[in-house]
This record gives sequence, structure tokens and C-alpha cells, in this order.
Amino acid sequence: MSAHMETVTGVDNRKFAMWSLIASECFLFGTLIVNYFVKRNRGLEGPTGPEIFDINLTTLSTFDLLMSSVAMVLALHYCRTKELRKMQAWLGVVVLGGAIFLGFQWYEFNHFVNLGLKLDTSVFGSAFYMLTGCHGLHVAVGVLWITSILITSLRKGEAWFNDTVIEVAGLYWHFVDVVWIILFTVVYLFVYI
Amino acid sequence: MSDSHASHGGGVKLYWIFCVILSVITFLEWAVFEYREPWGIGKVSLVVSLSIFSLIKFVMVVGWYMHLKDDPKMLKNTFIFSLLLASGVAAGLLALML
Repeated sequence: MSAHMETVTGVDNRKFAMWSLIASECFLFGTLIVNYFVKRNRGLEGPTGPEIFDINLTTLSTFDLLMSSVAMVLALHYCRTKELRKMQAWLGVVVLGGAIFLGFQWYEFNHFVNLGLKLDTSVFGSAFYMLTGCHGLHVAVGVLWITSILITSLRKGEAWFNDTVIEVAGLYWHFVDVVWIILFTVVYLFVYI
Repeated sequence: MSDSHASHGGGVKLYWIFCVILSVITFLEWAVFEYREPWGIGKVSLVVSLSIFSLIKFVMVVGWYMHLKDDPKMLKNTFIFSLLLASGVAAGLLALML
């Protein structure tokens, strides 16, 4: 178990920092979601959401991200119980899940561009790519971060059981998942409304 | 921060139960959307049901997977206050832009 320093707040400073970041991210995604919601039906250029969205595919990618969240919480559990192989295996599943999600998004963006929806095609296009692309960027950062944790663990083995590092990375990863839960509903399922 | 995972409302069994519930809700979201016409689901019912499903998933992930329900009050307040404030800003923007 990692050593926890005494802090004024009684909360590990790294954990507090992550919750502060998450709090500020609420504003970022809140404004991007409103921007998308307002712009989605404006402008008649190019294809619209109902014409191009593939709900089956997006449901699969949503399920994938949810499962990676489960893997993350299991990795933290096995870090705390000091079961190295299980912890590393679940961290690997998180990275794989994140990479698969990015693959889905890459395919989806390419497909939409082929159908004529580019960043500059319409206000719907710019709002959609800005919102989902910003989320994708967060997923990519999470994948890189958790990969670096996994590599550190593989290199240092039993000498490295840092539950605070995994918990803080987990908070970030779960938040990315929570944002997608909202985006899946607002962007994809509210499309006909 | 608690060192005991159990005291964080965790436990592998609970995480897997939540995993199944989250999967079922995601499937229900898909089903309600795909079969809205055959099942005779109107727009209002669709929005309400999908919003409820989304809210349940949100609370489950934030409360249990992020362990916020067992975290100190300061962290809870930081998140909840920011979320409410961000929702207020979003609602204000929506009112301005629509």
C-alpha cells in the first residue's frame, strides 16, 4: 500500500486535485453539450444525425467503455489486495477497452466523412465533432496514462503497489465513462427529438 | 482515504452485480430507442425513460465505481456543487441560445 501523507484536508492531495479537475471538466462538457444541442438542427448543409448515426455500433462502443470502467475498479481492488497479476491483467483490459473505443470512434468519424459530414460542412458537423472529438481526446489521454501505469507495474513488479496512483487514474477514467453515458443519450438517442 | 476496499462500498461481487445492471440498462436504452414505434413510445415518454436510464447509470458509476458515496464530504461537495453550477450555466446558455 502506498504511504499516505497527512494533509490539511485529510484527503490525499492528488485525489483532491483530480476531483477539482473533474469539477472543471463538468463546465467544459456542459457547454459543449449545450452547443451541440442548440446547433444540431441548424443549417441544412450535409447529412444530419438521423441520416448517418448507427445506434447499434454506438451501443456497442458504449458497452465497451462501461466494461473498461468495471475493469478499472477491479484493477484498483486487486492493487489493494496486492494481487499483482490480477491487477496487471485488469489494467490491460482497461487499456484494451479504451483502444477499442477509440477504434470505434475512428471508424465512425471516417464513415461520416465519407458520407459528407466534415468539420466544416455544417454547424451540426462542427458541434458534433467538437463534442465527441473532445471526449475521444480524453479517452486517448486516459489510455496513455493507464498504459504508463501498467508499464511501471510490469517493470517494478511486487515493489510497486501504488493504490493512490491507480485510484486517481481510475477517477479520471470513470469520469470519461460518465461523460459518454450522457453523450450517448443526448447526442445519439435524442437524435429524433 | 480508506485502505479497506470493503469500506469503500466495494467488493468484487458488488462490482460484477453493478456491471450486469449497467449492461442491462444499456440494452434497455437501445431497445427502447430501436422499438419506440412498434412499442408505441411517444417522444415525451422516450425522453423521460432515456433520461432516467442515463441518470441511473450516472449515479451508479459516480457513487460506487468512483466511490464518491464513501468519500469525505469535502470531495462530495466539490463535485456536486460544480455539477449543479455547470448545469445552471448550461441551462442559462440553452435559454440564451434557443
